[in-house]
Amino acid sequence: MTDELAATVDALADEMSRLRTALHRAAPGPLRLDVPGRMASLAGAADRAHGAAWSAHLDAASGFDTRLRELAGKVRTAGANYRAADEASEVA
Amino acid sequence: MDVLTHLYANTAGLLARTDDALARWGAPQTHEVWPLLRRTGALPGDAVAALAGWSPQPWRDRAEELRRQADAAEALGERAGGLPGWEGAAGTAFRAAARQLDRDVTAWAGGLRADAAHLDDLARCLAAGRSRTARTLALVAGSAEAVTLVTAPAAGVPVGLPLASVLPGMAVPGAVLAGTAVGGLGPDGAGPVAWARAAAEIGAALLRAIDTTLTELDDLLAAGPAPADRPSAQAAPAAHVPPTDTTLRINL
Repeated sequence: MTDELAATVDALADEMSRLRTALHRAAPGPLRLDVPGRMASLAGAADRAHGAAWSAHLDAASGFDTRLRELAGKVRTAGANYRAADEASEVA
Repeated sequence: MDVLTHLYANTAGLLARTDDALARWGAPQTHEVWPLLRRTGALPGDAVAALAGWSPQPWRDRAEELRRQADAAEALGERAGGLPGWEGAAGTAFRAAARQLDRDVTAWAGGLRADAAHLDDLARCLAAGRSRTARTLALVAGSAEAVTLVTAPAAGVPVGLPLASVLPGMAVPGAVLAGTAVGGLGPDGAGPVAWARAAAEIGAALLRAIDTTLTELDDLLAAGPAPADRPSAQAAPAAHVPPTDTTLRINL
């Protein structure tokens, strides 16, 4: 059962990884606007704010991917421990 | 191609003359155009050209992408939260970790939606500003000031009397008109003072519309996205302004 569960959690991690890739591909580049004066500083501020927010979302997706993979690893470890305990009790 | 793009293409000549007249003849010293020039940091024609080239579509596209990923994240979090555990301390710890992941991923999806809503607000504000500027541009294009300005000589064409002799203190581009001197009159009575006043009126009307838009965008950017646990607090300008008695309809 733990093996199946670990595989399910790994699949969720893969999905999160794909979500991160999709976000990365759609990451906003500079608007490349040829605008003067206050409009230029405003467009630049908007670019910077959106770029920072997008980076934070990419980091969050990476963090969830890592957490899911660690969770899958812990489930596998738990499964291995149960099997070791079962084998030990059979030997005893 | 929206109304502003159409109108800009058809009024580029007038806008160039407006910028040229302001640069050559200046404007009356106390005219409203001066603070507007300082606030926007651009000549009216340049500012309209820039706004015409600034599309809200990239912001809308990004908002759409964020919403798509928020949907995917919410579904993923829900599936993580619904994973079955097993008997014992390790199983209980797994269930707790899975449920926490669900909560965290759902909260993140809320952040994605908040950013999407903010991008929508910015796009609506920019679109409304483009419409506002287009209406103003249509009004000034048909104004008496526009007629005055298009009859002015183009840049580089001598205007009869040397400027310094007819407009004391205004011999360099961008200088301030004395407001009382009249010189270099054409056969129809128009001259630098009339041209400068016309350019100042047109410039002020356009820059006022653009300044309003920039101020609204500034405010939205300063406020940032609304917190994820409540809907957007921004009262975004309407994307479509309903017709009123003063709405100008233009067939393009």
